[in-house]
Amino acid sequence: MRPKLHHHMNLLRQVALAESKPEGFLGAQRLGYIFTALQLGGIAAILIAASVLQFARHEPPCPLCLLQRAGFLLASVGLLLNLRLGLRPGHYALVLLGAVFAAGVALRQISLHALPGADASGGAVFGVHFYTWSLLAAAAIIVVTTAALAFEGQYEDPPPAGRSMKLVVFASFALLTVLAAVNVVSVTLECGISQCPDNPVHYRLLR
Amino acid sequence: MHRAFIRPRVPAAGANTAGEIDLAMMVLIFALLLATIATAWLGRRRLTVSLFLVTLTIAALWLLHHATSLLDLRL
Repeated sequence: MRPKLHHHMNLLRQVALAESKPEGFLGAQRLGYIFTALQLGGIAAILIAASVLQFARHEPPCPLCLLQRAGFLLASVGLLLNLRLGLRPGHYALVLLGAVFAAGVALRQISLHALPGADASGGAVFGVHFYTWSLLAAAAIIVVTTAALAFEGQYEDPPPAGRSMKLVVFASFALLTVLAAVNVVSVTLECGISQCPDNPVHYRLLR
Repeated sequence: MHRAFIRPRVPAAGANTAGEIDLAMMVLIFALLLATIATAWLGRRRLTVSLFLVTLTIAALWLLHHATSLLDLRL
């Protein structure tokens, strides 16, 4: 008898809680998912641009460029977990770890090229080289993720299970899976089963 | 030659030979990333986090190796 009463009390408490907290258009949870989706879109755009430029210019990526891609993919894992299993501080922590790693690799590459007299590497957009854009993008992810962590209300509600949400989850996973697979194939062709060349000019397995 | 990726000098006898690692580490890193995304899709949180940490550790060690071999450091 007692467990049943406890169950009813819990139900009543949940209903009262839901009624006392009307979810506005920009509730904490909705904001969390918007942050997550925007960041995933940004990371996907970075990886797509990198792959398109790689194949269009016939420039196999350097080892540090590959590590930056790995950093962005690592950051995307936390965002994908947010979409798949609900918003959690632990998922945001994975995003931060991945972005900090990408920023570290970008800083390393900038330190090799930024000194006066040193040669720059790769192309530039608006006069800024790709590794510097990479650092800016990683810094943006760190700032946005830190801000997103602050909205405490997002962790209390169960994740939405609507049809549009399922579509967003499926599309995000499909896109990131394809991008990761493209990089696996590309790296295998470029490096083969040995260390990647320091200054790649062709794909080892295609010669 | 690209200034950033000059091969490390051949180490003296008995020196640390970390600069001579000859494994497909980058292929391994990206394959692990693909597996991490696949486990996230399956909803396996713990396995995903474990794979994430393994991948991040390998990638960080690779970066350390790159930095130290270029500077000819003996760590």
